Amino acid sequence: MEDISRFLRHHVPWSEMPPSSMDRVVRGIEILYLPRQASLGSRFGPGDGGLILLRSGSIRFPSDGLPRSLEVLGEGDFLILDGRPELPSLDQIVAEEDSLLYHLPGEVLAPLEDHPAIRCWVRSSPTRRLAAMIARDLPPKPEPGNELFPDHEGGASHGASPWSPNPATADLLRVLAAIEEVGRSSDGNPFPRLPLAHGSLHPPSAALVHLWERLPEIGTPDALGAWTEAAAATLAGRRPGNLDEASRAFLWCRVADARLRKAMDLAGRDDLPRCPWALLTTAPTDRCTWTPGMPLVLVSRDASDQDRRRSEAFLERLEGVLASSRLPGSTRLPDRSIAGRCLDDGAAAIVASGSLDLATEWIDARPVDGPLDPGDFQRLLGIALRTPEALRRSLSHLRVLLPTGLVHGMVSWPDGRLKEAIHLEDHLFLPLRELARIAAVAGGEAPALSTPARWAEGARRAVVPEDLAQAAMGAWIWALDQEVRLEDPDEDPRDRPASRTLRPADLSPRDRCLLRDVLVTMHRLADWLGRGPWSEGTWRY
Amino acid sequence: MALLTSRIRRLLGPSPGDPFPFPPPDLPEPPHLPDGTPWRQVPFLALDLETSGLDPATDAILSIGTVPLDGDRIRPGQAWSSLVAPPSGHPIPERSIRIHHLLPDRLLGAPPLRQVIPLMLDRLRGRVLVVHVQAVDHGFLNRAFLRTYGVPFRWPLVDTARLASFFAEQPLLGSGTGPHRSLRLPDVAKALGIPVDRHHEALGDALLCGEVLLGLASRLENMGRGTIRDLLRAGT
Repeated sequence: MEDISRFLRHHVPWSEMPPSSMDRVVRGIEILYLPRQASLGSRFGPGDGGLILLRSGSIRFPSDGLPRSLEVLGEGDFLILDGRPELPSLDQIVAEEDSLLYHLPGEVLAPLEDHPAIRCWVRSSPTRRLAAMIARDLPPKPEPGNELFPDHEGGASHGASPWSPNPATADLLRVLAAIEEVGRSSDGNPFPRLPLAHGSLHPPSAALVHLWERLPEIGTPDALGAWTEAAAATLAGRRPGNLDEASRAFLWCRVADARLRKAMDLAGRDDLPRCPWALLTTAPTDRCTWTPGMPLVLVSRDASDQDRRRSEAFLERLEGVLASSRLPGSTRLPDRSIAGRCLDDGAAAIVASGSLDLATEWIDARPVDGPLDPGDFQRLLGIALRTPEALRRSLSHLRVLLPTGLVHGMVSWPDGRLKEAIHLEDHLFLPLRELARIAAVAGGEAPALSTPARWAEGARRAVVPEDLAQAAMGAWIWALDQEVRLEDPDEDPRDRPASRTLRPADLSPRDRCLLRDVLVTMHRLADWLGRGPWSEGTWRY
Repeated sequence: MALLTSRIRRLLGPSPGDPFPFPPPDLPEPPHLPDGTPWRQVPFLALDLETSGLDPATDAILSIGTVPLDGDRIRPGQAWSSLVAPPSGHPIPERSIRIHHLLPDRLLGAPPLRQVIPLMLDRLRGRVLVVHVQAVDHGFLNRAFLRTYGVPFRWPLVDTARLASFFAEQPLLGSGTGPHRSLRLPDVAKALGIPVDRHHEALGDALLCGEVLLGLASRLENMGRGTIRDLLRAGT
């Protein structure tokens, strides 16, 4: 059930699980529906021993003097039904809105606790859990020469087993412990310790709100530890590092900030301080006179035209900065016009950094395309190896879907027809997706998760030239951007009608040029793939 | 013609060597459930088909997905799906490819319908069928049964679209924002607060259909109608 595993992969700690454990979880999950105002007690016994993960909706705990932010569990949060005395009666825990629950029975959960990431979350203290969540989001790569994250045994090793904090995480743990110390030492008006410290109901969002509420007590961001300093220093160019790492650090900050915003939404709070890491990264330094935070805001989906203009101006300056940086020789800058128009802040920053890998990693996290089932992939690969006609036929089929160009604002087709509009899904997404699949099959490797990732993989395996892969991804992003512009804000983006059309005459001159480039790119891709070893006769792979 | 042949063969009985004797000796009986059985104790099977069109007489099943429910708990770990090879030469209109994204190449090597239907039937044994818009799914299954076994498809069935229409004029569906009108599966799901991941993929839609059943049956239960009889009355 790909939908379930996709959801789990995007939520800590399930995202830490190896595929075999993920399969076990998905196989063992039960799905229940809790209508608004129904209680957990109506579905589960107190000694259930399992775990409830909220897929959608929210459930509320009895107030019991807790901060409001700790009373509600939302999407991705979970609690364990282990019958602890501090757990309120399940009859008192009710759905605040219609909720869909994943229930992991005790017999499925128990073996998972052998996995360090899971054990950390279901059996460790909230402090440790929170540290794990933050530090494991997107840790920097361990590498030789990186004094903070050396590539040696016992150092940082995300995903490794058993889990042990690296020096940076240990710093963070100390900070978190200090938060609790501050709470204890306050005279007269003590902060509560991290609440619900023993147990099973400590949702990540609530923990974050709790943390952020107490951050001002800690003082300066320096207190957040060496990891944060390193990230900031790398971003500011004050520390040896490369653009790739800087982008990761930046993305990490954005993830932290996004988590905070979600937590604030859940808690109904708008008076919390901004993520200090995000503030750090927006401070200009002597090496870096631009403010990375700016474009991230400016090129978001709902940015105004003025924002977009400022964003483009920023990107112009960014190009200058990048040009004078010590970029690896192979690093290529994408077309600024495409970078400036991509979907949102994170994608903009990463595409602007020129890293195809990072952009695909980011876009992979979005539900823009379903994965190619590994079984299907192997079957396709087998067919391609045995009978290259299948690939040739696929390409021929796709070519029929490809417009040949633009003529006076009209779309021309291979048979000479002119049309006023093209279908986004049929004539942009579908050809790009299928061409990417053909490239993946031709590459002969395990399927990547998404179309952009397949292009990246195709480039790595020299199935397509890197500039062509990059152009394909630019085309994909441009099509997504057009789709976003057409979308109804109340409509689920995953349920858009396939008949959504694009009228070139309605596009700005610049977008018309980009559409022309996109069409050219698709034809170049089809031509390139059509010249592969499978293009004639038996494919000797 | 195939239907006529099927009926004649049924009259004659299975012939030696016939790979698909009909009616098959192991064709399961539909489940018999006492009227007063709470729906939360009834086993269901949510099913969805992807087809080359909407006319069972002329279009073909291309994919089947099923997800079992034991009362009010969906068991995604026991989900099952299969692609189905369309009859030789059967065209797959581009219009339908736009919807389900099943390109002809993906269906190469898939088993034919006559091999897939028995596998589906194994999963249906003892369970009440759940579909969204029975006119389509039941029509295709009926056609498939006639071709495979020579008998029509008769099975207790809950149609979540029909069930949703039961609530359509009442402010029970949706968050108190008024009557819910659209009966499309994703629209009904969203009105029930159920996230929609992917649409028009057999397994994903079967799962969604099962989730929608839980939401609608819970609402029916809140109105004091919590038996399988109530559910079948409102949903067929």
